[in-house]
Amino acid sequence: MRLLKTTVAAVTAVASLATAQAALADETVKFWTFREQETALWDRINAENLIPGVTVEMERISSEDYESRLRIALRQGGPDFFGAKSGVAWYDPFVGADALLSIDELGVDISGMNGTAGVVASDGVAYAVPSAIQLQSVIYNGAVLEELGAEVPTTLAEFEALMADAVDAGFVGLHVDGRDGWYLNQVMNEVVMAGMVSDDTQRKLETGEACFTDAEVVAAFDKVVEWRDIMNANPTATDYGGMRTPVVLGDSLAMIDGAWTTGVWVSQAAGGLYDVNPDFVPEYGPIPGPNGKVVAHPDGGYAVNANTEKRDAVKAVLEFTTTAKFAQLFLEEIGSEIPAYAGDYDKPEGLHPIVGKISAQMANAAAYEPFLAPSLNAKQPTYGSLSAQAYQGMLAGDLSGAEAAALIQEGLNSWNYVGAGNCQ
Amino acid sequence: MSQNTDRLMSYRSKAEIQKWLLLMPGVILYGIFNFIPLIGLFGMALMDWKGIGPMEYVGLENFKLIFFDPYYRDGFLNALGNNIIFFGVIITAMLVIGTIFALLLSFKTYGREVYKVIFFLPYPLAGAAVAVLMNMIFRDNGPVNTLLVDWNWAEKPIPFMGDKDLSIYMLASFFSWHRMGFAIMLILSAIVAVRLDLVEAAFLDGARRLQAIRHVVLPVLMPAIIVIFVIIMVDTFNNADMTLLIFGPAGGPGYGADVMGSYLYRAAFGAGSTDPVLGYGVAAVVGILTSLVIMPAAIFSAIQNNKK
Repeated sequence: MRLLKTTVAAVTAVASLATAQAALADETVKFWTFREQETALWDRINAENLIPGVTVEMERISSEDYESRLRIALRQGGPDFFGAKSGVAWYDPFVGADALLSIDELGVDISGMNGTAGVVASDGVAYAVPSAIQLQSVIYNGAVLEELGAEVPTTLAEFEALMADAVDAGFVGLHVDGRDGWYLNQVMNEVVMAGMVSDDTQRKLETGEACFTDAEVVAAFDKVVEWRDIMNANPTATDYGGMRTPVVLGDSLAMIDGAWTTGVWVSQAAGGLYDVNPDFVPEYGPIPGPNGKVVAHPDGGYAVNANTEKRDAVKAVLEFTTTAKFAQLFLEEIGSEIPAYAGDYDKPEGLHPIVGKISAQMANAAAYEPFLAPSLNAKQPTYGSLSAQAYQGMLAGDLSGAEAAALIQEGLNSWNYVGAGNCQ
Repeated sequence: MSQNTDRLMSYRSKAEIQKWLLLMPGVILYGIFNFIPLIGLFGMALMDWKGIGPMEYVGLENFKLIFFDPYYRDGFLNALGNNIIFFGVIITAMLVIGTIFALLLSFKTYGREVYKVIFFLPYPLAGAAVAVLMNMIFRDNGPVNTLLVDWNWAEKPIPFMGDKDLSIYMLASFFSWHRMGFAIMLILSAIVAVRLDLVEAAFLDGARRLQAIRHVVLPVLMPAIIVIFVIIMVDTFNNADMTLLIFGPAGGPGYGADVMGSYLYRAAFGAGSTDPVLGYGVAAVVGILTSLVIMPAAIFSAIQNNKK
C-alpha cells in the first residue's frame, strides 16, 4: 500500500513538473517596442533558443503612436511586456492605472544594471529593466578637427580656443538646435551640466540641498550665453535636422548630441546621416569644464504588463536581459548603443570602431542626471520644461545665466519642490 | 393600393417624410461621430483619466486647474492670445488678398485659367507637407535667408522660426498660403454672381462707386465672406498640426507658437519625458473652451443660413 502511495506521489510530482516545464516550453510572450533596432536581437534570441522554453514575439510599433496604441492595448489585455521610455512622466500614467508590475514584484534583480534612474516613476519605484544606455556628449566632425590640426579638447581653455579657431576658419564652432524643447532639456542642458557642474552638486540639486541659483550652476549657464559667438547664427530657429546636417557635411565643427545620431546599427549597415556623408567620422568628448564628464542617458527599458498571464515566462525573459550574454548579443546585433548591463563581459570581435569610442566615453559619465530626477519633475512646471525655457531664453539673447537659473529656481519653488525651503 | 395611399397621405405629408428620410443618414452619422462625442466631452471634463485605468470623477477640478492655477492659466491665456493672432492674420489675409486675387481673376486677364490653377495648387496639399516645405524654405540655410544674406539685405539669417514674437505670424502666413486658393475660389464665385445690370442701374440712379459696392456688390459677396470667416475660425482654433509639426508639443520658442490645439495636445499626451500628462479631462476642458470661442460664429452662420 505504502509502495503504491509512494509511486502515485512520485508519478504525480513528475507529471506536475513535466507539465510545468511543458507549459513554459510552449510559452510565447508578446513584446511591443518602438525600437526597430531590436528586431535582429530578438530574432537571434529566438533562433538560438537562448531563453529555454520561451519565444519572444516582437512587434514593432511606430514611435509616433506608440503610447496611444499601448494605452488602448493594455485595456484589452495587451502585450506581456513592452519597451518603456525614460522619465517619470512616461511611467506615472501607467502606474496610476495599475498597468505596470514593479520590478521588485516581478522578482528580477536590476542592481547590476546601469540606467536605473530612467525607469522609475514619481513614487521612486523601478517599473522596468533598463535596456540601453545612450552617450550624450559633444560630437565633433573628425575631418574638420583634422583640418584645424586639433584633437578633441581636454580642458575648457582648449575647447574655447578650438571653437574660436573654427569660427576664424569659416566653420560654425558649435551647432545647436535651440528650437526643440526635448533637445534642450534632455541633451544640451544635461551635457552642459555634466561638463560644468560637479557630480556632488548635481546630486544636491536633486535632493534640494543645492540651488540652481548657486554660483556653480550660474557659471555653467553664463558659459552657454558666452558661447553664442561660436554657435550658429540663430540657434532658436534651428531644428534637430538643421543642427546635425551641417556637422555631418563638415560646415560646422561640432554639436551637442546623443550618440544615436552617429550610430551604425549592425542590422542596418549604414544609414541616417551616413546617407548624407558616408565619410563622416565622429569624435566624442565632454564639455571639458570643471566636471568634464559626459552623460550616460538611460534610453528606456522593458516594462511588464500587470495583467499578463505569463508572468513566469516574462520573468525569465527579463532575467535574461540582465545577463552578460544579453549584453554581448545587444552589442553584436545593435552595435552603436551600449547595453545597460553594468558588469564585465567579453566584447564581441569585429565591432564598428564607433562602438569602441562610445564605450570609452561611457567610462567617464556623470553620476547624476537631474533631468530624470522625480524630485524635480513630479509637478508642473518641471525641471525639464523650465530648463528648455531657460535655454531658449539664453540662446535667443533674452536671458543671462543668472536670469536663466532664477527662472528654473522660481518655477520649481512655485510647486514647493524638495528644495523650495532652502532656495527662496 | 397607390390610390389608397394617395388618399391617406397628402402631398405635403409625403414631402415631409421624404425630407426626413433624406436627412436621416446625415443626421445619424453626424449624431454618432460629432454630437455624441461632443456631449461626451462634458462628461469627460469632470473626470481624471490619463487614457488608461479607471476614470475618477473630480467634479470641476479640471476647470479650476485651467482657471485658477497660475501656471496652467497663464499657459492657456497665452495659447488663446496666440490663437486670436493666428486667426486675425489669416482671416485678414484671406479677405484682403483673396478679394484682390479674385477681382483680378474676374477680369478677362490673359491666362487667368492658369492663374486659377496656380492659386489653387497648394490647397489639396496635406498640412504636414506644407509645414515641412515652409520650414525648409524659411530655415537659416533655406532659400529665403540665403537670398537675403547674399543680396546684403540682411547681415545674418533672420530667425523666422526661432523668434518668440515672430513664430505665430510665420505659422499664420504658412496657413494663409495653404488655404488662399479656397478663399479666392469662394470670393470669385460670389463676384461672378454679382449682376452687372444691377450695378449699372445703381449708377444710373445716381449711386456713387462706394455706395454701389456697399448696397449692390457687398450683399452678394457677404455669404461667401461669412462662410470663409466661420470655416477659417473653426479651422484655426482647432488647428494643432502646424505647431506640432514645426515646433513640437512644447509650442515653439517661449511658447510663442502655442495655440489652443497644441495646448490641448500637451494636456492630453504631455510634451516629453519630464512633462506630466494632465489627462483627457483637462484636455476636454480646453476643447469645451475652444468650442465656446467658436460657437458665436457658428451660431451666426446658422442664423444666416436659416434666413435664406
